[in-house]
Amino acid sequence: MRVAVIGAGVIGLSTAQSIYEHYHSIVSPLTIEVYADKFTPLTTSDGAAGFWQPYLYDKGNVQETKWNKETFDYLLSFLKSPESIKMGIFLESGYNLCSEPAPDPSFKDSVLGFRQLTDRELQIFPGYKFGWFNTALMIEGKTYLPWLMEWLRKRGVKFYHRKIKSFKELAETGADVIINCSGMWSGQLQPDPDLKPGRGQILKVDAPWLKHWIITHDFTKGTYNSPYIIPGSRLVTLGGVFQMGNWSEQNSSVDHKEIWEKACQLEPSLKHARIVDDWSGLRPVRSKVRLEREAIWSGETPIEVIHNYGHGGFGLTIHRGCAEEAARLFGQIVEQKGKDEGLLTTEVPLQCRSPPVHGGQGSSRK
Amino acid sequence: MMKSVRVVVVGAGVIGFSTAVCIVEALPFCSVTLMADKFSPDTTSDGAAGILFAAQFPDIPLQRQKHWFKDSFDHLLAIAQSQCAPEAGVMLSSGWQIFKEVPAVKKPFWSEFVIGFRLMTDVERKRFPDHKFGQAFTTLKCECSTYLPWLEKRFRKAGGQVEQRKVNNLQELSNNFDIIVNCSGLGSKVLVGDTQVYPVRGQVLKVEAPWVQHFIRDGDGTTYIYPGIRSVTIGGTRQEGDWRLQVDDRDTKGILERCSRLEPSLNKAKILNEWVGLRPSRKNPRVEREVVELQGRPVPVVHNYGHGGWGVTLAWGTALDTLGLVKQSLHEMAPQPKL
Repeated sequence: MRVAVIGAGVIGLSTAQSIYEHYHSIVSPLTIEVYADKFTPLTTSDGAAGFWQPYLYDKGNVQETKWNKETFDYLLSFLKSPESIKMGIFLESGYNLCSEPAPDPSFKDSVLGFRQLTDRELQIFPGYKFGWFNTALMIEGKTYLPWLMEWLRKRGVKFYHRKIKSFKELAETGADVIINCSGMWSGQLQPDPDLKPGRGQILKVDAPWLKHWIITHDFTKGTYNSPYIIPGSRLVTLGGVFQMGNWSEQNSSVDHKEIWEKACQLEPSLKHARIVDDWSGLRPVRSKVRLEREAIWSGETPIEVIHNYGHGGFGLTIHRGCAEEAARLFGQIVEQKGKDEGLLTTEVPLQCRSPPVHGGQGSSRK
Repeated sequence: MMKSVRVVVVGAGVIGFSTAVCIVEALPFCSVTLMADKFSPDTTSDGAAGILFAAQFPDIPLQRQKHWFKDSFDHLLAIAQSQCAPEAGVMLSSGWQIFKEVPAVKKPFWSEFVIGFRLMTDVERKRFPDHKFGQAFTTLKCECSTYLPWLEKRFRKAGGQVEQRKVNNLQELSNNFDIIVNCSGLGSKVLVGDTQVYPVRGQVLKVEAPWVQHFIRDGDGTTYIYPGIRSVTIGGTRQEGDWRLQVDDRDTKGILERCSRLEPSLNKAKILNEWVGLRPSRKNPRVEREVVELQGRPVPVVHNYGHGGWGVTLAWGTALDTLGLVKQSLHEMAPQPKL
């Protein structure tokens, strides 16, 4: 079976990984190919600070909260091993600050040591009256993506530097299943009015005395339109811009000034920090993540597509949960095709099987 | 014209400079000279990780120890929150203190002065399978190789004089100074003949591991990981009565093994350098004043030494105490004759 993944950001690569992990011994042969016009370090995932934290509230998307937690637990399990450094994963604690009391966030049970801020801590941040402290994870795209690519390469996954213009294009070359992880540019493959850019801009500064992330929340301005400071392993990310509908990937000097001034207000010691870099990226924003199968008709046979895009500003945060779910959907396709074409070498694992439609269970063996 | 009172502070470590700054900033009518044979980066303070953390001394009233800790913490916290933080070498540091056996005292006296002190949750403890109990909190780190030069600038700006000179006895000083403030650490053994002062040897490694953002300290005090501004200090040893200043390879091996057990990613860390220091230890720090007969006249001597491994932690608080003792001495001195 040939699987073509479109997109080499964290979503594309991790989905390829999950599919390989679950199916390489079940489906034989299983060829996985990744097609993208941008690879690390030029993807959206690379530019992000690399901080694991969902939006404060999931607005009823409990599935997303589950996937976020799954991702956190998965990344946390690597900390026991020195391998975690090669993956770009490490623990970091910090402060979520609000100007007024707010309900506990969706991730309070996922992170470590979640608690309210003490009065003393709030004194450190004048202007903020409420907030939380917890320990979370960093997962730096510029390290994690190369690690994923190496992981995939070692297992025979091939990479193609090519912009895919349509699902049909890939189907015609023989792909059996297409995994659409094209993030912000999914609209070019299939119009999606729900997918919009949430433009972000960040500064990277040298301030190694900062060891805590500080995220402020302004409920009148919306997520990430309020200053944040996120120390990384080498540089500190300063940000706080979320402009819906803005497609510009150019750095704006107006945004630069605003980010810098607000960050210095929040953390006075930054005054002496050297600014090293600017970056802008487009968060692929959607009302909820699109993670579903779609059979696209082109001619007589349907093209099997699994969509996995629209992760907004929480792609790194949610990637593993979504990748595993995408693999589960892939399993349904495998089972169906297995029945049709006798492709399977062993039984499809129970959790990957689709619920019975006609009353029959199990898969046919060659 | 009134001749100003001449004060000399002996010692250029964190105790000496903190004390000198307190005095010169509070007493403008005193001329203050700091004198020492060793300056940063060659003092005991320079190699210390500088994490604010306290022990409890047996014979000092608890209230006084609480003041020492609180005054030091608040002073450094104000610096950490200011623009001066990186120039002064002060930063906030969060992390965990873990114990292999549940300690008798779960909430030590200083827990109210650090930030956000609480017991570790079960999930947090799972990361340390050898340890049964832990505390989580945010404290401060003060890196003396940066802090001491910053204090020296502040000292000179306020009119302080600095002199590089080894002081062999107090008599030498009585010619030129009216009040002697002794911050000579381990040197007090010889300088004032204090037999109660003894070294506790500590060895540390500085490694490059910028992904380590939290401190981890074993409650026994000999294994710790302290991320700093440009490197991570890992250690350590506590060898009482050991005067050796050379690096011991067995200690290096032991430190790497113990610390990697707590933080496996340290296996990949590059070692930048190694350092040995002798903690100027004493059953209790000596922060008190006396009057000593030197060259036929009574000279007030105020002592501020013997802080062991808690010098950075207690520097500002004991410096303020010492300032108070200097003021008392001034009150008792006869008025200066007019020239």
